[in-house]
Amino acid sequence: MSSGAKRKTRIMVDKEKCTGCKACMLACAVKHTGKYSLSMARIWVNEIDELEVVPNVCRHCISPACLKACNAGAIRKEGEVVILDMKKCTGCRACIDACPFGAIKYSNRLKKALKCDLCDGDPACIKACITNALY
Amino acid sequence: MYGYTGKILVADLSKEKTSVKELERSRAKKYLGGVGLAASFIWELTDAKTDPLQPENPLIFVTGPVNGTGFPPTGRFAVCSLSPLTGIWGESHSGGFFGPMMKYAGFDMLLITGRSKEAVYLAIDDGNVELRSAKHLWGKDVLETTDRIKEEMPGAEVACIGPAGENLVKFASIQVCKYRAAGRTGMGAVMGAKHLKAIAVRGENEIKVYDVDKFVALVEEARQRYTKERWGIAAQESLGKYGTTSLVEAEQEIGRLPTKNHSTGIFKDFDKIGGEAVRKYVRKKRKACMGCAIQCKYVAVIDAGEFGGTITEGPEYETLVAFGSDELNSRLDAIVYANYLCNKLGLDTISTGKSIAFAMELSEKGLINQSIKWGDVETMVKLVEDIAYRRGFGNELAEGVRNLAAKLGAEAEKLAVHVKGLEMSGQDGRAHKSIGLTHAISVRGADHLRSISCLDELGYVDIAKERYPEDAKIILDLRSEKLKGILVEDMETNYAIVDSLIICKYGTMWPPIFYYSDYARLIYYTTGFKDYQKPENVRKLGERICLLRRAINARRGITRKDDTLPYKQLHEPMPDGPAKGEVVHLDVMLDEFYDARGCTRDGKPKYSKLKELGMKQVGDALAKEGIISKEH
Ligand code: SF4
Ligand code: SF4
Ligand code: SF4
Repeated sequence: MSSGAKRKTRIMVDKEKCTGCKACMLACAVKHTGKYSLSMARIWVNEIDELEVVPNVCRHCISPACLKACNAGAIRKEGEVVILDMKKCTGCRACIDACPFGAIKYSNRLKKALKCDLCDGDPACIKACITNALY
Repeated sequence: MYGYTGKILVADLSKEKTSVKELERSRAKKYLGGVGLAASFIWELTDAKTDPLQPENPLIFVTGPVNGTGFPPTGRFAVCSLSPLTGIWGESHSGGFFGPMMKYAGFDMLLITGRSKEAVYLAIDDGNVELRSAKHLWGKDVLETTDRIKEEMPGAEVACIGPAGENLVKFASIQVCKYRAAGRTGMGAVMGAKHLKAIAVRGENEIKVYDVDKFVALVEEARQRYTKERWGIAAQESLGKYGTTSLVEAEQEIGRLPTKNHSTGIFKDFDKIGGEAVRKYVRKKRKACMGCAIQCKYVAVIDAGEFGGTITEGPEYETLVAFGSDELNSRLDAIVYANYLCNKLGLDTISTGKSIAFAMELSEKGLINQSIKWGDVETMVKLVEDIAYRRGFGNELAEGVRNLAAKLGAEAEKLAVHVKGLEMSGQDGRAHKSIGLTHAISVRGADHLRSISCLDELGYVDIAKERYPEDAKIILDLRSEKLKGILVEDMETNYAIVDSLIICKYGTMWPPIFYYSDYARLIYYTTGFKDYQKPENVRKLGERICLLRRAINARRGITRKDDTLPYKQLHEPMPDGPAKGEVVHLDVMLDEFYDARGCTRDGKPKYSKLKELGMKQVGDALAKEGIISKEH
């Protein structure tokens, strides 16, 4: 990340500004996999109806329900950021059920949970969002 | 293959069979994707006799290497086939989310032939392909069809036809994600003729690009150029804020806002249907195609009145003209409602609105026994439905302006505003000479998007100087025919590349941010095709695509006599506004264009040019059929 910029500890969402373009999803996928897809994104843009589009992403809770639910010890806190270790993840979906925001998704291809890692404090999704719906 | 899934789905609906074919690398290299790739198949699979509405006419859904990646915008795809409206090469484009999802579902292209006995829809679910019964959907409108299929396949993107496509209305659209349309040239009727109600795609496939680091950097650069710097800020202030609607004001200013069935370029009530009015009264939310950094789409809502409760995406500039100025209608709420109806019933807004405008003029001049008054919104709305369901006079209009005029005789033909059978989009060559040439030579009929120049239209002085250092002044002269052949040839080549990648005209046409050297980087980082590192080879790619589409048309009898304009624009001087007194002098522009394009003065591809571009086989085939001579 550029020197001097503050590391992000959370992604804020202004759903009024979101146009549903999914640029955030594509940026997230390529950052984590080196390939483009929607399936590997860790942020999801849900089109409710014509007038409402809602991006959904991990809140990095102070007291994360997902972390408590994970029996494999795959979820940990690194400072203020909640990290899911894909190597340890067994794909049991306990975290998915536990998260009150539906902010973890199950990947059919990987058979594992997918969750935002805040891109080491430099979120790719925020950079991709031209409307500032993410900040 | 980088950028591609490498797979083509072949579906024969008559045999109820589907199979998977590899996309040959050599073909991808030669024609890249999008319309280039589709043209290579249409060239091989059709001939002079192929009837657009018969089972053998292939219907192609096609993406390019960039679709599904992060390059803004990534959401486009094209539908190509022989057009039932024009009888020649048909292509129609749409944004939204369907194109990328088609690739995530596993395919660069869908090649559909045959005719199903009963109504079906094609479900492509992460590489698995199924022809499903659509008996429960036949007769349903676009909105309901899309909702029902999404219940059956959550998360899918849906392209479908409405009643208009089922009823073979010659300008029926294919609606995509409900409100986006592959609108032009009647692709919806081709789908209807195949008894194919819809295509639904969903999948988790990933797209790999050749040089991901450079590609990601290029995406970031593109995003900056679309939003910051001189053109980016302008793009956000115009397209971002108004979408295409602010063109109403811009065209009025240059006297090029088609009004009263293209009789004039000035509409006294332009401000009631223009960008400011749209913002003030109906625009409720900004929308976008997938991955876009311009984001020109919007949702319109009519709160109250007889059309109260209407929600739809759009209308675009073209629709504001087609149902507004061109019909002398200044009621914005009625335009939004007509747009909503077209989306719902599966109709191209341009051809639908222009057919009704034609009917209004026919009625005024007493050439039909119908009372269809200028600006009468009640009749307008009723006609939209009558066209879709082929009721009464709507059944005549459903055949398109050219066919109706031919039935009515010479006086009507003078009023019919089309080229090669395609109703004209919202421009007028009398006020903007290069668009006159564009309409005349376009391979799909009276259409702006194959080669419109915004340099002269919107006054991009710096860009004109960069691209044509010696001639910028003449190039920029809206009302001079000089050098417009050169300009239009260059634009057509440019957009053929855009339409094969496939990216958007916004950012390449308006504002003209990207050009050959940018495409060169984009193509190379995406596909790794080394030849395309050189901008001159990228340009050659565009030329190949342009000539291949021309070859398809030449085989179907198109010559210089068809590269023409409606009577009004050639013979009736513009009655008022800044272009008062002007007509289009086509011949000088045509000669110049054909020379630059590598065509004979009769508008057919030259054998020598085809050979030079590596298309000897195309030349040989045309020569064998006696369409061209090997001497040229
Ligand atoms: S995944 Fe859900 S529960 Fe876990 S930290 Fe994020 S928002 Fe909180
Ligand atoms: S911060 Fe990074 S990991 Fe989290 S959603 Fe954004 S791009 Fe994905
Ligand atoms: S990039 Fe921004 S505007 Fe686009 S979908 Fe994501 S949050 Fe919404």
